[in-house]
Amino acid sequence: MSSDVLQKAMSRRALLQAATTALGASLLAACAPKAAPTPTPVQVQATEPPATAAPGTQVPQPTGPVLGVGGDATGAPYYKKAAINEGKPIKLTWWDWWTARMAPMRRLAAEYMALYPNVTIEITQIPSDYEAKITAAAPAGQGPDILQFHNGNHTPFIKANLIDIFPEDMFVPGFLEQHYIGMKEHHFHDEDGHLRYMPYGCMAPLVYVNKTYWDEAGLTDNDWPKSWEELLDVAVKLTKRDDAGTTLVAGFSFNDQCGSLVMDMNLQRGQWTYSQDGKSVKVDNEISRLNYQILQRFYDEKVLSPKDLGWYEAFGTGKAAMAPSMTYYGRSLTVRYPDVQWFTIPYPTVTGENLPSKGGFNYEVGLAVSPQSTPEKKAVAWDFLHWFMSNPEKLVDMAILHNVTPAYLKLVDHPYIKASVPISQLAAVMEYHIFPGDWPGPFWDAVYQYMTQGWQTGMSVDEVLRQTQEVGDRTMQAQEFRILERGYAHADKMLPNQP
Amino acid sequence: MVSVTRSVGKTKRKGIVLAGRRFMILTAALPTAAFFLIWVGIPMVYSFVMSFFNWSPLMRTQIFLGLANYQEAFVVDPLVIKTLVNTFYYTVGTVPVRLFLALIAALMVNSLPRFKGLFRTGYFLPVVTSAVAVSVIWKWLYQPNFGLINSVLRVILVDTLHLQVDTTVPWLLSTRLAMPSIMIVSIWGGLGFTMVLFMAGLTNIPSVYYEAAKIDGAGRLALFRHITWPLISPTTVFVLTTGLIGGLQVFTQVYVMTMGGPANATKTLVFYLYNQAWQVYRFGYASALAFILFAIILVLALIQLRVTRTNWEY
Repeated sequence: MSSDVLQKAMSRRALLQAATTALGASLLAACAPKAAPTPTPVQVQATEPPATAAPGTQVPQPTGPVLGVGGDATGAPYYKKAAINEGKPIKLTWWDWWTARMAPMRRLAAEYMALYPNVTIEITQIPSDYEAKITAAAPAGQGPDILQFHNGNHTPFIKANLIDIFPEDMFVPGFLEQHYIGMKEHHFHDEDGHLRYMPYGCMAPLVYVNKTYWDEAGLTDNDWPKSWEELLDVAVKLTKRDDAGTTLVAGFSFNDQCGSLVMDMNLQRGQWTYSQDGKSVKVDNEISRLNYQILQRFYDEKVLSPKDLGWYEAFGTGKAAMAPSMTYYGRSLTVRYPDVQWFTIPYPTVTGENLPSKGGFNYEVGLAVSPQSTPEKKAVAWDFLHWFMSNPEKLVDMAILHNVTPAYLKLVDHPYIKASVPISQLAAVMEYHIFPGDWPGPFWDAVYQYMTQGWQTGMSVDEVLRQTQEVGDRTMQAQEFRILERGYAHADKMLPNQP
Repeated sequence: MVSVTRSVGKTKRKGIVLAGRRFMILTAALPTAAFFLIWVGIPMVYSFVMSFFNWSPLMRTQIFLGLANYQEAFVVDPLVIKTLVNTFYYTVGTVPVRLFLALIAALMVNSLPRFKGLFRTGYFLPVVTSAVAVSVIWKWLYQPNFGLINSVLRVILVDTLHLQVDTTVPWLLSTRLAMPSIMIVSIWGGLGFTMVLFMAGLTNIPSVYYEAAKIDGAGRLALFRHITWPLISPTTVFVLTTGLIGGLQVFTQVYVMTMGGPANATKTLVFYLYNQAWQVYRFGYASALAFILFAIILVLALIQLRVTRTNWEY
């Protein structure tokens, strides 16, 4: 074989190798992450078993006859129609992700189908990658007719027209603005002022307390702490140690939550989270450092559960006597840790006062309708939503199910709501909580990664604040976010002249 | 004249046979080619084009940005460098160790007179187990207070050896230990596959070489050094190359076990671009990150092939 031929052969081989490598790399680089499990369609049955009792409440379940007819919670009473879709068969699809919501929603749909037997509502649970699937399916016309919507997607879903405008003849704007939280401020509206979704209520943190330990420590209602300092004193009393000084029960656990606690404390001191123009965050400053000093004192007093034990498990397994959490935790405790006897106390503040603020809050999910559905399906979907949401009793059910204060303010005085201590405690102070608007994901991820995990694993306060500030600023500059915190009802009590 | 006619007839038959073969090849290759084109080729090209746009799947209009996404990745975004460093750390810590252990396991199993199949199956079991399931189980094994690993450490170090040491090791909660912990899972999970490749390579080595070398007085080490190692180099190159490509694309273990934490210590580039795509719907930026990774993989794979290339013949 001549050297020329050899050279040629080698070149071909090299070329083949390069091509094979490129092909392999292309194939693998193009590989998307594994798809989530295939959704499981659930055919709605008309005979659903009654729901179990909601956590944290000792009230009977409102499982009586159909109450949707004649409700007025939307400002336009709902009346049963002689027929819907002219009595012709029609099938609606509905997507949701949360297992605990499936049974109540199936029951709800079954009630509606009993009213109109020509309507079939098929609920599909999509437990993971819910938003990803909606965003892929809806523009292709393959999405659901009705969808459970979380306000974390407010801006992108509205801009992409993935959720329809609420019809004003069924959902009367003037009435809603007068009677619903956040309606006047257009928290659920598009830029043109059209309503796009209605949450079932709103949620903010409380402190969960182990009743057994509380009683054993001889504490009473008069000992409820109002400030973080007072909470520390109570935590000292609740902490149990053995003779060797090893902590058996921590008085308090905030593991995995330090970052969000500091951000709440910043609001409690009157400092906004975002700059006025929404292009930067307010993290790397003396106020944040002051708040870390408060958290550090919990470590110094040795009242915390071990850093490697998250607050969720620590409280649930009886290794912590107190833990702060959004009120969804009540349901988790009932389901996962039914042996724990617990109650809630209001979220403390830096000063012990409700002003300037108690911290942030967010809205619960709510139903929305897809604009991509056919006009016939949309008409039925809207009729269903009108029937459901105009019924105050059903809204009470939703508030109890999600452990939130009802968005329909009149329902705060409903006997079932008043009987729920966590919801009542929230309702009493909701006006002091601040709704921030959009949720800039990468920034809050940095709050968790650095201000929580970083600090817990030994990074200095200066470093965690610097890193969070850097990611936060970049996040805010990379995209447009709808920041609403300065519309807070007591904005005048916040620190003045904040850029 | 007769011979000319026969020759023409032969040529015709050859032509028919060749045409038939080509048709068969075409028929066999077309579905694969179509599949590749539809599911990989077109999306790749589309993704590459859209990496120059402010692409969001939720937006009806996409704005052309030129190289802005790439510029952002290299100049503005501090997390890209961090995630790249994490990705390389994972790859460098995983691929050579897995190769080394798999080779040892392959040599050991290959030398067994019986039960080779049993051991091969045993080593291969983690490969056929879902990566998500494996990650979830390991996450529990790593749990600091109740996890099996720390419990075993406690039994050995504290209860048996009576050492005064803290055995609540925060495997996945420490910025120092989290990535090595993930690496261990990956090494364990991929060991069987690499081992099977090496076993196939070992089987292909003709025994005559070993026999000749033994006659010449070669010991075990010399046999390995001068016969086994050079002759399994095609397998080694393949394992290194595919390992490098797979290592740079690590996602599942990170997603399930740490979500990139603590303090971004395990956030890899693929996990980061996934977040950019599905957390804030920045598909254009995520595509740019994907093509940066693609370029890195391509260059590294070519360099690796060049460096480790051997002209073997036996």
